[in-house]
Amino acid sequence: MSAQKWIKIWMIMILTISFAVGLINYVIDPLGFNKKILIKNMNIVKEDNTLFTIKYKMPLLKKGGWDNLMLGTSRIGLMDTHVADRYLGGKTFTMSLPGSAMPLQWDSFLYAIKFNNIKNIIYGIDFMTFNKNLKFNDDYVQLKEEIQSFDSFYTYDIYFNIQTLIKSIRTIVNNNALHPRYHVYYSESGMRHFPNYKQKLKNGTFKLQNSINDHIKYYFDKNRGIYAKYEYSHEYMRMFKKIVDYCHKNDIKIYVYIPPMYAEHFYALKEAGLKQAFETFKRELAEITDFTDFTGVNSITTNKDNYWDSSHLRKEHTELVISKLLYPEDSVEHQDFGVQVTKENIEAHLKQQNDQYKYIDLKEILDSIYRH
Amino acid sequence: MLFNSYIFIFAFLPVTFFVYFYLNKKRLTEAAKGFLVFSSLFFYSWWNIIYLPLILVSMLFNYVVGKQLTKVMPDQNHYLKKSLLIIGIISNLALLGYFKYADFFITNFNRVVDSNIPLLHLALPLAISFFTFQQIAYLVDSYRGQTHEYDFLNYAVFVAFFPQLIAGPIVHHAEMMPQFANLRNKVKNYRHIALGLFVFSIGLFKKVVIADTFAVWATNGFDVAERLNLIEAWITSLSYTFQLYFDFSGYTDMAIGAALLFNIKLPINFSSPYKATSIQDFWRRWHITLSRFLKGYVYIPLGGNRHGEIRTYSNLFATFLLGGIWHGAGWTFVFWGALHGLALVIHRAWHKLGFRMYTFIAWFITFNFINASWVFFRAKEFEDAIKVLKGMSGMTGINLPYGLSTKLSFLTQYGVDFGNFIVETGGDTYTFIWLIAGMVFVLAFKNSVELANSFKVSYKTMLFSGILFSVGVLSMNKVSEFLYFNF
Repeated sequence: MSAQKWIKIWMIMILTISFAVGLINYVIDPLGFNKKILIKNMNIVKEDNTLFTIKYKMPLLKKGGWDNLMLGTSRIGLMDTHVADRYLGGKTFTMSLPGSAMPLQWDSFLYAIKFNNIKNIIYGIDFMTFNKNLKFNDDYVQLKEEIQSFDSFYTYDIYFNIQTLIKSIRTIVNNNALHPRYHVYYSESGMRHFPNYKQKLKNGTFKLQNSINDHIKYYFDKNRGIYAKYEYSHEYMRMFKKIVDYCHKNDIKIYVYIPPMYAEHFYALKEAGLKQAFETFKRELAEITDFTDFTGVNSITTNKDNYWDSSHLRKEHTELVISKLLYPEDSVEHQDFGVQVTKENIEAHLKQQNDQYKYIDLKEILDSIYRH
Repeated sequence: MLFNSYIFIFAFLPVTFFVYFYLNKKRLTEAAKGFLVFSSLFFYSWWNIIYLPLILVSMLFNYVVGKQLTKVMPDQNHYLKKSLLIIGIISNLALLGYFKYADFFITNFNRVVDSNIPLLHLALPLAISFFTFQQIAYLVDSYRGQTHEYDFLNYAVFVAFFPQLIAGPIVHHAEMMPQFANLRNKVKNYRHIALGLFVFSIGLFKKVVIADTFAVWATNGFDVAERLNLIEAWITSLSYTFQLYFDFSGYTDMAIGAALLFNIKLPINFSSPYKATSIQDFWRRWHITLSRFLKGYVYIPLGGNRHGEIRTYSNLFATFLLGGIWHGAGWTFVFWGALHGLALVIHRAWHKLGFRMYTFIAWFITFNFINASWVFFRAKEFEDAIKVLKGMSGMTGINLPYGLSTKLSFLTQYGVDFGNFIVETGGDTYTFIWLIAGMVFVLAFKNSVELANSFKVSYKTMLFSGILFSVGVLSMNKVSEFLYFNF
């Protein structure tokens, strides 16, 4: 064999392998990015795509045509956009970014308003977003420049890679299984679906307490949890203030709320030593804008069946949250759910919440998870 | 621009390759050389164009000084020649010192005299440590009359040639220029291209697939965890030991492979360093071109082993202390350099006294010393290093899988816990498989240089490198770091 032939065959080989992988991934589309070819027993049920949130959502935002925007972490991602459409009119997009720190939310806000004529913003603001030491999402680190310069997002690397090939193979196997396993995924409006949980719920196999415990670990593990090394950032709050100011100046209505968490999650904050920082967060928030606080102890937060885990409220309660947020005076259901907070009543509100705190053995919960 | 990026592999490298050989084919050899310099500077500026003037000024300055040094005959004015060399070296070191060590110096000065001088927060210009050392070597070689350079374009190719610009290997003028001057090297050589693709593929796989896998566990252990148990600490240190080797040697392989496409042979930089059976042996196998530089331009000028044992020991120690500082502006790097200097002193004394040991024990001690000393090299602060070392020695607890708790319950009386045994580093059973595989790769397999030496144009090599390359390219989607990028 001559060296020239060696090179030619080598080139053909690498191109063939690469394109074959790309083609398989494009057709199977395990992450639901293109949804061009849907074949029964092949790729109807997709894989989880939450790790690719930015790549998935930014191109949808860039296409434009959205009137309302939901901003925040994954907790706002479960809010039903159709309900928001009904209350606000127009089309609603959910720019929820799981586990995101404020700089990413700020960047995505700028990206959204650049390409859309946004009229309303529903901001589900999270305490964890203001942790100065919160690790940035990997895709944010990788795509920061593109977001900040309002660039387009290429997605070819989603297809031309081995991780996706493994997901493609898994997708085919899963679609052929007797009971296909459903995954978390985003809809066209950026909303987050939990079809797997729904299916399990239907089958009676959903273990809610395990799900709650796993999420408590995810949030409160002292080294690696999302609240680990929590240091409240005043700078991040100033970033949030800029969003509010921008909305006021540009005639965009902004509705701010703190998403409801399951009461155990609320108690765990105290056990993790974060009560004071949590209060600072609320005080500074009240200085900037009025907001609706859904945290604390009430008829919704004490019933774990309202949640998928320790802090993600089920979609069915979207209407309740939105009505409390937009028309609090008209809302008659669950009177204790959702407190209107202003800078005038913040201290009384905090005192009331302080009385609701209760001791839980966070260490025991975390240890029990590690034992399994 | 990183070698392991789509833009480099699918755009920059092919375009540079074809234009370079096209110009040579049209007998426009100077234009081809100029194009190679332009491409290299484009490659350098891709990350941040702001430091392009810096490297240009540095190149021009060293070229002028080097030219003057070669002009002055040894018997003409020795004093002038030496002064010129000293000015040249000091200027290079001043530039490196300003960008790399200014904040380190200010921090320590503030600490010692309790002052509050603000830090400069300078971004380190890409590859400054590499091109500075390379040019210092050039000046010394010029002083010694070992170089004959009259053309700035030639000199620019020598310094800026993109495969070795960012992270070495640190090359000598004398080993590069004849290759660029050789007319036969200006014609496409298909065997070299095949070999280059073969070596590049190995490097890409080592960097993207192996090193980046170990990176996750090393980063979690060093940067995230507050406390590590015995197993976690060993996972952390071994992961970094393998990450560093596969990262740096993989990148070097890519450099050697890319250079071969242009018919340029770069020197070997790694030769199975973890097979070393002594610390001296290790430094003959690890970052060979740096060792060569330190020996030729620091250790020997200091007096080497020519002034008695005590001076030899102090010269050895000083050389490695400097090597440590070169790697980074921090006390952990200084300490790492000192540890290696000390180990070399002990090794030399041991041999002088006529002691020997079994090969396996020698390897075991050497490997564990290297593994432990990398902890200081990697740690951002001494506290992080102590955290890992305490864990490795079992001082922060021993945890075993919960599944063993019934069979080994008697161990609880010795303080052994069950459960939570690899939480802090992340990972699972595969982590152990990767670590074992990593160990097997570095000990039992031929290294890339040996594979390249026995390279034959065959279906076997084509299939082997084609698969490595494809897997490498198809794994480039994740966040990747290059450890020697900021050195």
